[in-house]
Amino acid sequence: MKYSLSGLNRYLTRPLTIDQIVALALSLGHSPEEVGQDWLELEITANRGDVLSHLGLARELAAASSQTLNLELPTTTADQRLIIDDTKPLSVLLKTNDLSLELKVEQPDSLEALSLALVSLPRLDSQSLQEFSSKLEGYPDQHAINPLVDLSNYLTLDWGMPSHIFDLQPLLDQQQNPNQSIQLTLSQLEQPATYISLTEQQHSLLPGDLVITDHSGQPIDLVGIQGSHLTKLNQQSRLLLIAVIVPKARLVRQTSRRLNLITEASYRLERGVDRLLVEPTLQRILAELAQACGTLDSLATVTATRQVTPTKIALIPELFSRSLGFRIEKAEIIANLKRLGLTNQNDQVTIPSYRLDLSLPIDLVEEYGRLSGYTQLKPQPLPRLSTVPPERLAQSHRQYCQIENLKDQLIDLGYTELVTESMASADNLRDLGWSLDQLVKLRAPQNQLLAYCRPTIVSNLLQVASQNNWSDNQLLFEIGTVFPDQTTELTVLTLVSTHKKPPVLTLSQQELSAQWQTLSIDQPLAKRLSLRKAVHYLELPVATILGDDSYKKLELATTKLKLVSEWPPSVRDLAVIIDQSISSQQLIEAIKTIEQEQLDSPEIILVDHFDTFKSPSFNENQISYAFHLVYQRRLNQLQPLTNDEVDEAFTNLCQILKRQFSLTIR
Amino acid sequence: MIGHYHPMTVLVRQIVSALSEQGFLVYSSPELETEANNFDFLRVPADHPARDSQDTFWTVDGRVLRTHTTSSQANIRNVSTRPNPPFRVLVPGRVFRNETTDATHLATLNQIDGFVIEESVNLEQLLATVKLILEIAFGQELKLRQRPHHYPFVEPGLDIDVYFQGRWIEALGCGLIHPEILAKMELDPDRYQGFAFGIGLDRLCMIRHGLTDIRHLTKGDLRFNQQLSVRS
Repeated sequence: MKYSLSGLNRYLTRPLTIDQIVALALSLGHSPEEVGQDWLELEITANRGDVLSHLGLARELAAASSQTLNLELPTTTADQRLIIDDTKPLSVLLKTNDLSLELKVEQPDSLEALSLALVSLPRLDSQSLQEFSSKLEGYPDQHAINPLVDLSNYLTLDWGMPSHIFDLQPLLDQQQNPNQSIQLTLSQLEQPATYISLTEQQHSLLPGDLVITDHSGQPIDLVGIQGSHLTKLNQQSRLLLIAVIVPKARLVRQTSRRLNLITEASYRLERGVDRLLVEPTLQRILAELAQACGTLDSLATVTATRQVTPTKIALIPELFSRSLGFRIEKAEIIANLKRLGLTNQNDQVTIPSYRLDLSLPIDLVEEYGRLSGYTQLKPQPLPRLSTVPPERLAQSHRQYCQIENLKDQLIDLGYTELVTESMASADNLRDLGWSLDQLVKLRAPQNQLLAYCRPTIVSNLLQVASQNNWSDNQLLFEIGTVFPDQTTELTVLTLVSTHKKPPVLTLSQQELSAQWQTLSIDQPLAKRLSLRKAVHYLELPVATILGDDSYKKLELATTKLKLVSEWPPSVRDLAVIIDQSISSQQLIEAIKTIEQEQLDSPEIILVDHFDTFKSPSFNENQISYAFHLVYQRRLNQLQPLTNDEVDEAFTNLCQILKRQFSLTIR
Repeated sequence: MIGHYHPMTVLVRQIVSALSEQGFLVYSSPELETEANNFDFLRVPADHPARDSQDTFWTVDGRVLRTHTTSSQANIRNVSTRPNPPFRVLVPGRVFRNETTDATHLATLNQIDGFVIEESVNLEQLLATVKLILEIAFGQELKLRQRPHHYPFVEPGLDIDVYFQGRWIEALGCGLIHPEILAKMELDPDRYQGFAFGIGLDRLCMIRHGLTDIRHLTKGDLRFNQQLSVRS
């Protein structure tokens, strides 16, 4: 929510600066998202509906800055007071000199509270009315619509209590009723209905939606969400029903989410509002109107509430020390809670009506922590665990270690590990012979490439092989979860090789070379993936090849990784004959150093060592290494590299290498 | 010829190696979960606004690809062989978000959850545990900042920020396991306490390796994957 600095400071006895508010809000758990000169936007978590108003945030700020809140609620003066009792239907009757209105509430259990006023405005002072709009526009991103609507919207942002003002004249005109009486019903729909909102949008309502209907059964208000076009206010509206209604939060949520109609009112009501503000909000609207219009002599009001006793939570001082980790005195706890309006008596803490999120003793620990406890936390290592690990966990841990051991074996064999998406497209799976009916299908994926939970990793790795067809000697693997049917979730090892022949493969002392399968280039999947040559693949449930459970401790030798250009790579192969006392790693380091000194040349993003051999034709102490050098444009990657540029850089590199090492380029 | 580990394997293995010395054990929990385990068990009911923050992959038969590895807390109690406390658990694994993929979003992500249930654990021990993990990921000593946050499955709940390269970065969510969740695990909340944390690993990997595009981690471009070298 966006808050205005002046709107907050109105409730503070000692005004705060925007920077002070930002710091306090952050420490209280309301993360700043954007900050302006005289406004700020905070992320308010779903449990804190009470902070979705200037008053609500000011309350928090007052507590955190140890000051009293500057708030005087209007005296409540409803003509009638009723009690909401779930067992009895509720009927509310409002009568003025000009008009009578009856609201029947068919399911009282759908309501928390309501406060209504029937009023006929005597005259309107347009300048005074304009002040409503000015007040609203004093809040960030708010725009005037109609002075009465603006007044209602202003109070929603100021106190967090939504209200709705109905123009009753259209209802009277429609029913042509000489007695000037209006019959309304508040109920959950029994039949589907059509609803046209204030913004003239048509919505389909379903049984269960909470609405107010007129005498003909036509919905005129989607309670807690938005009014209808039938009673929309205009410049001439004089005969008004002002309604502050708090329905059950779940009813608001159910309808607003289904219709994707999320309003300032529904957003607050589904999170919960302070029921004690229902009548003061109505009184405040009436007071503002009285100021704008003179006295309101044709007026009737009613309030219906539930009998609610304040929530009390046991204060358990040792829970605070036990949970936070350091000793806290009871008096300090009580003093901190008091700042938040949580009062203690006989180790029972009374919770204010606006704090709907507090119900357990541990909730009080959080309140103390927010206010002053978290800043005192100092990291303390866990004590050594002296018990024998539970068998189920020990087994699961062993399997993790065995899988890591398997990865070590594969890395030693020259395989590159991949992590690909867990979903697969229908086309690729069909080509691999999977029957789509047996697979786990996703309901609404963002795109069709993610339509199924993958039953195999083969198609993903073949895709990777195809993307990298500049490298003709790929050895790839992935260990991951697959979903081969509706009920099975399995961890598999998948290997792909683009070598000419399926590689010899032994893992955990098992000879697996015979298990390779080959995808030839004339097969549909190879064509779809644009594979240029036959690819070998193998997939096994990982449980069948687990062995040793010791794995290597790894330390990063490379920290920063270079980003890869969108353009296809330019690759040059470098094969050298060199003294065998020089390792391939030394050559790689030398190539990288030369590259870094040639900042005008293209960048070598990767030096891929793909071959080592000795030949009788070499001298006895000589060895041959072969590398793929992968070039890309440095910094400016807007254009692909030209062959000439790469050739020049490669030739230059070869010359420098020849000078540095006594080597032969093959 | 030596192959190449994926950056995620290296990161997770370093975390597991360090924490297993403190008695943490890796627990494997399903990726395809029931709605009850992924949401309801963790006090995220269907009609609550807390569900809004999850862009969930639903299957046509009403299951979910887990949105967080925290679902492991529901899974671990499901089977009659729930371990008896004390225990310390790490759950590295994939999680899923039904979002359009771009430089900062992926549909398949990686998290590591951890939880500890003992007769007495506290926020200071939680802080030390997550500090250790973050210092492994960032490869340096770190200054941390803790601030309140709401996660329905912990109480109190906290977000931990890391001061890195001149600014605060939101690093993880954590807290004490909510007493109602302990009760659902058939553990007496008056006797046992737990702490839990959940860390998104992809962003840590990006920071660690200086990446500006998260898609590099799953794209499988060997020009990228083969740059990583390790010492063992």
